[in-house]
Amino acid sequence: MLLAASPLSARKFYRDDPLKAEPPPRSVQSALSRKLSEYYDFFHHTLFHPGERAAASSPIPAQGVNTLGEVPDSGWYTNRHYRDRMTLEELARGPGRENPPASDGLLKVIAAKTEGVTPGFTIEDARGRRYIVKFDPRTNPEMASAADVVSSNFFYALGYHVPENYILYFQPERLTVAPNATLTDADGNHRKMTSQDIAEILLRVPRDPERGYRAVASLFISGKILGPFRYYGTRSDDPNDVVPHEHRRDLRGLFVFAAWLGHNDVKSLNSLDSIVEGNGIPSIRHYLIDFGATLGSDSFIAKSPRAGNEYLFAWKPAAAQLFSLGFYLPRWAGAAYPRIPAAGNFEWELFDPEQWKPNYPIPSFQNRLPDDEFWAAKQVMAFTDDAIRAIVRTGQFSDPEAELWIAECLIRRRDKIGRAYFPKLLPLDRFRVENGRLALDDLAIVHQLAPARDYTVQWFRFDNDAESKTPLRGETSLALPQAAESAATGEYFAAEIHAGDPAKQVTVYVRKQPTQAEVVGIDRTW
Amino acid sequence: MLRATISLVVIVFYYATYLSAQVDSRAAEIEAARDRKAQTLEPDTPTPTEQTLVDIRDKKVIERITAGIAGFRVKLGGLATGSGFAVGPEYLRRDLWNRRALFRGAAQASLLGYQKYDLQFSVPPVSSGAYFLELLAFHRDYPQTGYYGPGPHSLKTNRSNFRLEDTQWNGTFGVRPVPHLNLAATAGYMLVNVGPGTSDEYVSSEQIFTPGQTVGINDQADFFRNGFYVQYDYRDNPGGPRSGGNYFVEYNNYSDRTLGLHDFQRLDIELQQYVPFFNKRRVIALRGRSTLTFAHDNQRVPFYLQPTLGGSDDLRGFRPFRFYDDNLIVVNGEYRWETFSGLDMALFADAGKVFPRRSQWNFKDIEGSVGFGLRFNVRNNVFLRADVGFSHEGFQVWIKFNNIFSEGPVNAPHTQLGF
Repeated sequence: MLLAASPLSARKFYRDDPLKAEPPPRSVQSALSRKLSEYYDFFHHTLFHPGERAAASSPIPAQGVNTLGEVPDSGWYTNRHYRDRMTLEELARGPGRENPPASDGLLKVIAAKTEGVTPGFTIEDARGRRYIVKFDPRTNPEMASAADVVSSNFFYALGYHVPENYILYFQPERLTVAPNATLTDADGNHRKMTSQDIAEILLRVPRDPERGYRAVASLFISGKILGPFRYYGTRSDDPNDVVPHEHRRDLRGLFVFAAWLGHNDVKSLNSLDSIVEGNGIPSIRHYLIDFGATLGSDSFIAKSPRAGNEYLFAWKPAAAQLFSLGFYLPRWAGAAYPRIPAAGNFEWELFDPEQWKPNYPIPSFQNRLPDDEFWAAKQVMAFTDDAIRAIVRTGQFSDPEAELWIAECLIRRRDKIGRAYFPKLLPLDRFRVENGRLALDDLAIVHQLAPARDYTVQWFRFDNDAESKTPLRGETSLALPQAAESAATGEYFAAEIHAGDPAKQVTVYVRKQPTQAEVVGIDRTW
Repeated sequence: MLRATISLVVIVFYYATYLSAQVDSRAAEIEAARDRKAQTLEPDTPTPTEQTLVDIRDKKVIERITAGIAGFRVKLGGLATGSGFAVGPEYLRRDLWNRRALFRGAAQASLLGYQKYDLQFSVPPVSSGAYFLELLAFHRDYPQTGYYGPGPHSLKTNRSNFRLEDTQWNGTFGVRPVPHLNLAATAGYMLVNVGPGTSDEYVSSEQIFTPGQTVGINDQADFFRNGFYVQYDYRDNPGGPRSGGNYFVEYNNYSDRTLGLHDFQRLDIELQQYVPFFNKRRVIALRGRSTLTFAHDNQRVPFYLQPTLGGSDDLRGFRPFRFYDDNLIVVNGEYRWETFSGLDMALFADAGKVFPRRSQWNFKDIEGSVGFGLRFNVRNNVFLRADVGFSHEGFQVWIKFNNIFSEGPVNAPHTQLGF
C-alpha cells in the first residue's frame, strides 16, 4: 500500500532494510494489569466489528512486517522454524524442557479451580516452581493434556511466545494443601482449602491405574502479568505497541495456524501479556496460552463437529437451521471420526482451510489477505512429516493409534493449507543472489503442488527516492542485469516475475552492495 | 488486481504526520513512532461495560446472589406448575461433614397463595461403590390445584380447584454398586389434607364432584409409604443429554394409617432414550412413562395420589393436571436440532392417557399434542426451555428452567406426588 509509505519518506528502502528484528524496545514503566470479560469479548466480536476493517474493494495490507514481508523478531514474535530449520529435538523441546515439575517430593496445592467444566489446581513443586495444572475429561483421557502440550510446541516453532507445558503424572499422595491455600467455591465463598476439595476434583478426572493422575502442568509465565491482549487496537500503555493488532501479520497469519491445529478457541482470553526484562529493559511480551481446546479436544469434551466450521453464533447459519427445521444439513455435520478417545474429534477430510472459523470473529483474521495467508502457509508447509510426528509425540499418548491419527490429520491438513493458499499468488520465496543470478524457491514446486514451470522476468532500474522503475531492455532472465555490474553501491534494481498469470506477480528489489547485490524487498500482487 | 507493497514503513502509518523528515533508517522510523506513542500513553482499561462484567465475574456476584450470605439466599420457583411466581428464603449448607453432606431448608410463597416449607439433608452419591442418603421433610399448601374430574374423559369445562395440604417425611438410603446404577430403599410418612379451592375464577372441586366420583375429596388421611427404586442412567450429559439412556423403576406401598380406605401399591416406570445422529447435532429424544396402581380389596386410590397427565412435562398441549386416574401411560418424542451453539430447537409429539383399569394399558383413546420448542444451553447444559404445545383443547406456552424429561429419583428430592 504505497500511499501509506509515501508521506513518511521519499524513499522505499532504507539502508537497514530488511529488518530482521525490531529495535530494542522502550522501557515499559506504567502498564497496569487489567482483565477482560469473556462474555463481553464474545458479544462484542459477534455483534459488532471492533478494530479497523477493510472493505473488500480496498484491503489494508499487513503491517509489522519488513520489506521482505517477514515479521521481524519482537515481543510478539520470534522467527524460528521457517527462518532456520529446527532439528527434531528442538521441535520436540518446544519452549523449554528444563523446568518440569519435580518428579519427587510433595506438590503443594496453593489454589484450586473447583467450579466450571475444567477443574484444575495451581501447584508448587519441591523446587518452588509454580504450575497451572489441568486435567482431561473422564470420557477422553489424555486428550486435552496432549493437545495442550503438542499445540504449544507447534505454536512455539511457528514463532509465538507460549508457556512451557509438561505432561505430569502423579499419585494423589503427593498432593498436599498449602497451609494458607484458599479457594472461591461454586457459591462464591472465599474459604480455606481442604483435602476434600482436592478429592472432589480428582473424582471428576480419569486416573491411570499405574501412573496415577495425568495432567498438563503449565509453568507460570514469568514477569509481571498484565492480562490478555486484544486482536484489535493497541495497548494504550505500551510505547512499543504501535501497530494496530488487526493489521499485524503475525496475528493475521495466526488464522492459518489456528485452522491447521484446530485452535477454534483462539481469543483474547487465551492470550497473556507479561512485562519481562531483557538487557535491563522491561517490556511487554505477548503470549498465546491455553491450547487445551485444540486438535480434537474441546477441553472438557471431544470437539463438536461445529467447531472450526461455524461461529458459535452467526445469523445466516442459524436462520438456515431455524427455517429448515434442521433438514438443512451442513457438510461438517457428517464428519467421520475414529473412535480414539485420546484423539477426540479431529479429522482432515472435511477440513477446508478457507472456510475454517474460530469460535467467533477475530478482527485480525477478518482482515487477512492472500499474502498474510501465504506467509503463514509457507511456515506450515515447512513442517515435514517427521517434524510433525516428532511434535505430536510430545503429547505422550498411551494409545499409539491416537498419536498416529493426530499426526496423520496434521499432515493432511498441512497439505490442504498449501493447496489452498499457494495458488492464490505466485508462491516464490527465499530470494537470494547466487553467482550473479537471482535464485528463488518456488514453494509450489518444492512441496510438489505444481510442476516445474518457466517464469517471465523483466528487470528494471529502480529509483529508490522517486519509487519509479525504468525497464532494462533485454534483461528478461533471472540473471542480474548487466547494468548491475557497473552500478554504484546503493543503486537498486527490480525484477518483475510471473509464471504466466501477470496478475500474480512478484517484484523483487535488489540493492547493489560493494561485493554483491542483496535482496532487500518483495512486493506481491494477486 | 490488488497491489500490495509490503513494508515495515506502514507500521507508522498512523503517526506519519508527526515524523520528522530527518528519519533515515527503518529503525529510526519505528523509534519515531514509539516516541509519538510514548507521549500519549494512558492506562489501558476496559470499557465501563466490560469492566462491569469483569467485576461481576471476579467478585462472583452471580454466585454470591445464588449462594446468598452465610448460607441464606433467595429461592425462586420450584412450586407446582400454575402456582404463579414463587419466592422465598433458603438456607443451604454444602460444607457439612467435610463437604460430603448437604443441608437445605426453604420457605416459599407464590402470588397465588401457594406455600411450601421444606428441609433436606442429603449425602449424594459421588462415585461407584458409594452410599447415598436423603432425608426430606416438607409441608405444602397449594390452595388452587387444578382438577377436572376423574378419568380420561373429564371435561375441560369442568375445571375446578382444590386445596392440597400435605406434610411429608421421606427417607432414602441407596448405593451405587457400579457406575450408572443406583439402588435405593425409601420410606415416608405423609399427612394429607384436601379442602376447598380458593380460586375466584374456578369453582371448588367438591362443589361439582362427589366423593364417589373423586375418591378422598372429603377425607383426611395419613399414609405410610415404603418401597424401593432402581435407576440406570448412562446419559452422556445429564444437563443436556444427546446420547444414552435413563431408566428407572420405582415401587411403593401406600398404607392408609387413618381411615384404612386407601391402601395400594404404585409402580412407576420410565424409560428415556436419546438417539443421536449427525455427530449429535440431531437427536431423537424418546420417553415412555407409565404408572400403575394396585389397590387392595375394597380400597381406592385417593385422587390426590393418582398419577396426573397434562402440563409442561408430558402432554404439553393440555393444562397442568388435566387428567387424573389410577393409571397412566405417556410417550413423548422429540426431534431436536442444533440451531447454533447455544440453542437447540425441537419438534415434539406427546401421546398419553390416564385410565381406571390396568387392562386398559394400551394406546387406544389416547390424547395427543404436538408442538415446538427452544432449548437454550450454556456449555451443553440446558438452562431454559420454551415449549408451545397444541392439542384439540387449544395451545399452551411453557417456560421452564429444566429439561423436559425428569432426572429420576436419585437426582431429585424424592416425592411421588405430581404436584
